[in-house]
Amino acid sequence: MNIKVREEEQVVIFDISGRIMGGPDSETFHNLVKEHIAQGKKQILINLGKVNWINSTGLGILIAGYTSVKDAGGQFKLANISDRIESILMVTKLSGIFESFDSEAEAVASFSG
Amino acid sequence: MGTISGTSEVLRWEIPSLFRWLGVIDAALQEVGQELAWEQDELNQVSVAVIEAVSNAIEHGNRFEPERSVQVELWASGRRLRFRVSDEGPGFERDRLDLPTPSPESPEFMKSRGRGLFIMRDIMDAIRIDREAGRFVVELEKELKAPVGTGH
Repeated sequence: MNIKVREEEQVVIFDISGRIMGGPDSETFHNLVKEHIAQGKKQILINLGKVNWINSTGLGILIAGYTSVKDAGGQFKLANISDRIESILMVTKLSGIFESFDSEAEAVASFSG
Repeated sequence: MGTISGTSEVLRWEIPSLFRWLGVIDAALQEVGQELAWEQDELNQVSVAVIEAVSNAIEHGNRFEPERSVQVELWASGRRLRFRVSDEGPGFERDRLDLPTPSPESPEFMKSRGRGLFIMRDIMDAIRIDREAGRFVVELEKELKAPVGTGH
């Protein structure tokens, strides 16, 4: 998993590519989320457009990020999810937890404040 | 890689216990699904379940020790699929298969423990565990809704 971070209209966007599978990626992701929360940047969008697939450990990474941001009073959303990732979110019923958007523009516009 | 005979086709793969090789199994499943004309949604779901079993075998079974192998076998007969994913680890207790999937309203839902097993169970028709020749085996079965082609 590779992560590039940028900002768009006060929304922090994590462009993730590759596979989300846990291991050392977990700590990297958590540290990035925590750093941004500490800086008061609590509107985080996860761009999954270049993610091939995700396993349950990878889902755990996203859930932990979602929980940290939500507990800090922020918003954590997903954009550009593929059919395969949508399939796993549906099976795990996480599609009802994560707010997700087909495009980055829609997602960025959806953040409040 | 595999043998094909009559109506029952068997494919076998073996990888070292590192996540980097998960992609090989995933790519193979995509290829098999296309060759046997599985419907795309079902191919997505089956591959999610199998990748989950292989991930578990690598992480919890073989503890990422590359010299320990994970083996995947697939029997495809008509619309019935049977996967056997085996590792060299201690396995888990059979009663874990009966744990109920937490509802999204439950506090347990956001915890990671057991999610992989729930994914496999919810996607596949049947999941069994076994021990054979020193290996811990997870067997997954599914009958596809869409007709399976016979290939080229």
